[in-house]
Amino acid sequence: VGVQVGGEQARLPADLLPELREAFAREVASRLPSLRTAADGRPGPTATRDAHTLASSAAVVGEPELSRAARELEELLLEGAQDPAPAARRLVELLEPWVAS
Amino acid sequence: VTATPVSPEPVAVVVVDDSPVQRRFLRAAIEAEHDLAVVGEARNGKEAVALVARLRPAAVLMDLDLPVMSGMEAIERIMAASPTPILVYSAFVGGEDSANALEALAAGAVDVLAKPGPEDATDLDATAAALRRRLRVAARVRVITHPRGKLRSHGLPTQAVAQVATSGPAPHRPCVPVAVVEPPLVPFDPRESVRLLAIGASTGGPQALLTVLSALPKDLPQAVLVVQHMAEGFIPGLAAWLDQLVPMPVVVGESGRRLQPGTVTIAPSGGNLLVQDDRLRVLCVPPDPGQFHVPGIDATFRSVADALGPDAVGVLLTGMGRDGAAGLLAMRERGAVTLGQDEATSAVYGMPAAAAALQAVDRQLPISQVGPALLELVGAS
Repeated sequence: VGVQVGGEQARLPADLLPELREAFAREVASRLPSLRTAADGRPGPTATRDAHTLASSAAVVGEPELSRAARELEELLLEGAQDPAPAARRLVELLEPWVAS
Repeated sequence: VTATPVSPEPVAVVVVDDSPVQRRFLRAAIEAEHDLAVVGEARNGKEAVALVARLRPAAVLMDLDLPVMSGMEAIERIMAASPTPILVYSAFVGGEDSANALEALAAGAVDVLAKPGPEDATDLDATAAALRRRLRVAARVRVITHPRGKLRSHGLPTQAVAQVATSGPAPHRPCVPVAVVEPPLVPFDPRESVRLLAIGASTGGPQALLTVLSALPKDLPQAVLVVQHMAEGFIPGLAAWLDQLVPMPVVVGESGRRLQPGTVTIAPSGGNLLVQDDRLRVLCVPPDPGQFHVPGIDATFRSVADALGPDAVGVLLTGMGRDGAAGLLAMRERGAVTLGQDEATSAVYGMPAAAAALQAVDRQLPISQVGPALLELVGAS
C-alpha cells in the first residue's frame, strides 16, 4: 500500500476508501439477516450489536444517513422500546442496496 | 525512493474490534506513519487477551462492545495477566456509555477516544492522526498489574468484583493502585484560611483523582475544583463516576455559579473555567487560540492565583505535556502551597515534572499521600 509521509500529517492511501466500502458491503451482508428479523418485529439477540457495529462502520465509509438510522435502532433496542420494527425497517431499506448485485 | 535512515523499532500495536471495516481502517490509520505498526488483530475480547499475552505489544487499541468476551472484561484480564497500555476506541451512546468509558479507565485503560458516529463529519485523515497521537502517548504510559483484574483472576465471580468496585464510600478502593513505601514527611503548618483546593490532571488522571478524592471527607470546609483533560462529552460521566465513589458530592461546573464548600466541581469541557473572585464564582470562557488541552489547567490555576492568593492549594497530578505547570507557579508566587504527584506513581510524569522544573512545587508526593497532605494543610487531619 502506497503510504506517503509528507508535510504535517501523513495521509491515508487513496485506495483505502473503496476497499473499506467493499468490506462494508460484506459486513452488511453478514448482519442484514438479524436486522430483517428485527424489521419483522422479532429482534434477535444480536440485533443491538449489529446496529451498533453498522452505525460506526457506516460513519467510517461516509454514509451518515445510514449511520444515523443504525444508531437510532440501537438506541431503541437499548431502551427496550415497545416497537422498534419501523426503525429496523428503515435501516433495512437503506442497507438492501449494499447487498443487491 | 530514497534510502531511509535506520529508524528505531516501531511501536507494536494490537487492534481489537469485531468489525472488519474498522480493523482495516485502524490498520491503515496506524501504519500511515512508520513509527507505529499493527502486529496483531483480534475480533473479540477473548482473542485479545490471548494475543496480548503472546505478542506483548507496546499498546492495545480496544473496542468495548465485543462478542464472546466484552472489551471491559478483556481490559481487566489483560491488566491482571500482562499489563499493557490500553487505549479504548469505542462508540459511546448516551450518558450511560460515558460512564462505561470511565469504568474502562478504572479497570486500567489509560485513555479513551470516541469512534466517529453519525453526528461527526468524518474526516478519516484527522481521525487517523488523532489515533496515532493518542497511541504514541498511551504506549509511553507506565502500567501496573491491576488489583481489580487480580481479584477476578483469583476466582471471584464477576458480580462480586463489580460490587466491590461500585459500592459505597469505603476508604480503600479496589481500583486504587497499590501504594509504594514512603519516607516520613515533615508536617505542614495548617492554614485555616484556605478556601479552595485546585487540582489539575491529564493522562492517568481519573484513577489518581479517585485516590485523592477518596481521602477527603464529606464535610470538608473547602471547595474542590478539578480540571481533567478529557474528550468532549465525557466530563459528565467522570463526575457521575466519581460521585458514586468518593465521600463528597461531585458536580460539573457552570458559568455564574459559586463553588461550594464540601463539593467537588469538575471543569466542563469546551472551555476554561476561571475563578472570578474570592466568593468563588466561576466563569466559563472559550479556550485560547492554539490551546491544545481543553479544559485548560493553566488558565484555571492562574485565575485561582489572582482570586485567592495564599488561600488556595494547587495540586498537579499525572499527565502528558506541561499544562498546569505555569499556572501552578503563578499560584505559588502568590503564596499558595503547591503539590505535585511524584514520578513513581504518575502514569505519565510530564506535567508534574514540568512544574517541578519551574520550581512551582512545594512538595512532590506519591499519589496515596496527596489526600492526607491536603487534609494536613487545611488543618483537618
